[in-house]
Amino acid sequence: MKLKTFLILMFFIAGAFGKVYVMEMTVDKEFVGITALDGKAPEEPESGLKASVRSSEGTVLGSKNFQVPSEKFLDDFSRNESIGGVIKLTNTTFGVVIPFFEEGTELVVYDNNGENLFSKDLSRFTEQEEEKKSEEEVEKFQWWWIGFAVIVVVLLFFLIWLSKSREHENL
Amino acid sequence: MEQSFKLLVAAIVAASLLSVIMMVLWKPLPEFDLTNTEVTSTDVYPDKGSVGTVFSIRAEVASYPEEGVRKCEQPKEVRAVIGGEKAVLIDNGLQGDEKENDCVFGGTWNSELSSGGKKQVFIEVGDYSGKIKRKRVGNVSLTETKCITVSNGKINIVFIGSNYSDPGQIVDDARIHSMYLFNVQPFKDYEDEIKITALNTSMDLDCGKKQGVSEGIHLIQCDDTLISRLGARCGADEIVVLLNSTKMIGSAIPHAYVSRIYPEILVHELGHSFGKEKINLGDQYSYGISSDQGRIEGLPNCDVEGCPKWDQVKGTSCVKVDKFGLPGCTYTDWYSPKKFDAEGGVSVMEGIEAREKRVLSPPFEKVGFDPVSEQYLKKVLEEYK
Repeated sequence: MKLKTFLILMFFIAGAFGKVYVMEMTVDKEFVGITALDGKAPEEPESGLKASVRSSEGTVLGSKNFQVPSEKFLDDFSRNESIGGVIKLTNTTFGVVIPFFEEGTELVVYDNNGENLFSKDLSRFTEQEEEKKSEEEVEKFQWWWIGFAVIVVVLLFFLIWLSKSREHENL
Repeated sequence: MEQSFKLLVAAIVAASLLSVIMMVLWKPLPEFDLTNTEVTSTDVYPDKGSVGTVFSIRAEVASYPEEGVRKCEQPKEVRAVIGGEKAVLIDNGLQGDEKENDCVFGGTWNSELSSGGKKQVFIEVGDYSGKIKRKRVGNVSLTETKCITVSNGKINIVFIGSNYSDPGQIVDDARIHSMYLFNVQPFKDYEDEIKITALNTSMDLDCGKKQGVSEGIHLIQCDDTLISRLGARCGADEIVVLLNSTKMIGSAIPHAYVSRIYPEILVHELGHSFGKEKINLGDQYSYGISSDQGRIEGLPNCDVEGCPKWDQVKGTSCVKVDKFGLPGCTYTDWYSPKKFDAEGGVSVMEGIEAREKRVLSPPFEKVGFDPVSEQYLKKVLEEYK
């Protein structure tokens, strides 16, 4: 129960103005792409599909319900009678704004029955990966230091030897 | 002389020792031939966004030493250059590049420090001798956006202009539209709770009008993902897209879309889209088809014969015929909560009585919601609070 309260609290905090993912899906429930930006996720409906963000350990960091806008109302009031209706959309995409989690490495989307529709890797948006990249850079950089150290050591010994030999010559 | 000899020996020993360490740790540079290397396919997502958007880039970089032979070699570096800024691409399966060592390199570019405009995207592949192969793979459009607060509150309605020649115009338009909205109940009672934000952008939202299901009906179909991204930047709870058009048209779901000179239509379209649920209020005019032929399963403001949904709501009835004399409320077998009243403009969900205009200016046509619709929107507003 305490864990549940904690998770709800965490999700509430994440929902405040910060960073969000914006996932693009087709109305046929196929994944198109995902990005991240500074912003706020709107409040969620009670039912619908569910998008969960998970950590590398598989912990669900947060979930968000959303509904597929597969219908559109259209209204034309330019005549004496209203002409409009609802049409079913095809070949259309829409965006789902999901709260961002620094530890989030996977996005899983479930359908209305709780079945897994797809999962997508989010690692590229995490800070951990950026750190990993910079670690790799540091590793490469250390090679130069070893080479540089060898030169310095040899030069140092050479200078000491040179000064000592001059001292001897002066004597 | 003896001391010098000792020092020389020590120097040689130390240098040898370090050389041995170097030799143990040293790895030969991977073999890589840039001449046979090709950037075969690329993907930049999204292709347009506001400054601050994180773009994902993927590029397939492979060597073709012979015809029909494809090899995944490791170049010294693969990077994307977007408008002069660089993003390292890695083939480790963790950069949105699917698998490790599959010739697909991935990475991200955060446009936070960039300026707006159309940016050329290049993929650069570097070898170990410092040579670089460069290929132009496309463009991304980046727009500087500014969220301007028109009025303060908790429930944030963000106005985004489509195809505005003057992006600053959206602020004035949002102000007039919101003045109109706050004259209509229940929004009037919640004026202090509603924040109006105008997004200052000149971005094209791709709201090209397509022909709809019936002859002559325009379907307003915009880039809804882009709109969601722009809305999120301003912390939108609800989004209104104002079209730079003089036509008396509107559309709804997932956002509200309306001609910028018709705030009356905005109230109608917001009735459809305002709320956490996908569909909120329905049209109280008849589509001329029955509910078993339609797509909508239930609406708070239309009901079956007898109208049990609002039999406890004061000032309502169960009306069969719409304001145009056709039977139905959305569908022919559904009923409305109130007979249309042109004087009071009730109910706006039955259609508006606006006159054709050329500019957005007061006085506005009078519109209002019926008691059932008003009650529903009040519930939605309370949930947002």
